[in-house]
Amino acid sequence: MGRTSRVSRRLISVMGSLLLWAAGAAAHGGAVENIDLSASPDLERAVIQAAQQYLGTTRPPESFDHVNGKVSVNFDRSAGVAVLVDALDYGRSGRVRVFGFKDERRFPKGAAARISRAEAATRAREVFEREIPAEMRAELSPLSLRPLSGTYVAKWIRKVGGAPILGNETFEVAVNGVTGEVVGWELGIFDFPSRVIDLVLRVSADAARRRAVNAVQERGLLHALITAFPITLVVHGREPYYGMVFATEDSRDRRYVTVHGRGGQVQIGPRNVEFEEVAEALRPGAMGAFPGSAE
Amino acid sequence: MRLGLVFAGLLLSSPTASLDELALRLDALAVRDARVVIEATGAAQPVVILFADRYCYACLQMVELFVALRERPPQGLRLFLVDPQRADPATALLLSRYGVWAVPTTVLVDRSGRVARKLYGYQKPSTLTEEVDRLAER
Repeated sequence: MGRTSRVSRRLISVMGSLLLWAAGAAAHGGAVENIDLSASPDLERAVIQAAQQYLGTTRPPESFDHVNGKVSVNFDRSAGVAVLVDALDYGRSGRVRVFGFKDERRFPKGAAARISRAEAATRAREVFEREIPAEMRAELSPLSLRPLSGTYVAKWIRKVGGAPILGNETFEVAVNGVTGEVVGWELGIFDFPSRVIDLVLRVSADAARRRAVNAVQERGLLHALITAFPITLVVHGREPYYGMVFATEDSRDRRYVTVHGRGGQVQIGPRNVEFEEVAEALRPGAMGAFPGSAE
Repeated sequence: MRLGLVFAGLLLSSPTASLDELALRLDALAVRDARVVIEATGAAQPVVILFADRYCYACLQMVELFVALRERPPQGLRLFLVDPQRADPATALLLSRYGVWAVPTTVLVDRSGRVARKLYGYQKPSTLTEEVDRLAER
């Protein structure tokens, strides 16, 4: 929370991160172009091999980027063809895994969407079932399905004990709204295993709300709690927090306020788009709900 | 002294510290002024730099290995823990110089100041042992 490091893989806002990647994430904090893996030759070989295998090619990649903690293996930068590889588990398991793919040539070219939301959801689910390791799939819940730039973007979010984990621990698929082709997908890195995430609470949601309101008033802010975003228990790192949104009367300035689920400490931070997206999507009857999802 | 014994001791006899304890150790051990790391890498000695922060599990696991390594480092080897969350100019320079794009990353710098090896993510104790011993003997 409130972290500012440019190297942290947890910095990228979840909102539209897949499409940002597709559009060239170098303009954003969690991406670095042209990283050098030559000081780890065995890892470099493993990364290239995994990416080539995924695409069914023997072509050498053009370059590597860093995107959201993963290595983007670029096969055709101008066309936007790349494979994302998680290399951070290599030292433990001796293997790397494909955590994403994009082919920007598959973006729709101007035509209106022809496939239905239900069809798009089916395509996205197929990718989810095919590409995601079972142990990660078990912790991912459908979050939203939204139209965006001629595609449908389906998103799953990691939950532990029912609480969504913030910090890009998501799975996203972009489906071409005209042809139904998969434009790209990206799996986030899970920072902490679920067994070390402690969801024991000593503060109720109501008490958290009161603490937050008091803290905002004590700070002399004119912001009020927005009920459109329900108070939502979320996880940052491995700690539980009640998240809520406060805004000025004209809604121009929003603040993300958290109350620790055990200690009750209040933090007033800048707007958190990821939290807003999650709280909004989890609200009953939300517009962007995933078709067929029970949530 | 070779490091294998140090890590064997860690793995066989020491209880694994809690994540809270490891986070506190990280805060305590992280260099306050990253300029000392920059100076050390230009002082004709092998240097191991662990870049880690308290917000990832693998980082905290690496801190445990770092603590064991720090207790009995090979002769002449210098060890530093750098927390990228400390966003001062010297830390930023280190991140840029060594191309650290994710944490944890362990950078092994040889006596000539060149990067001998870069290890991404958590490392098995045996791997770290071999790499650090090799660096010390170069």
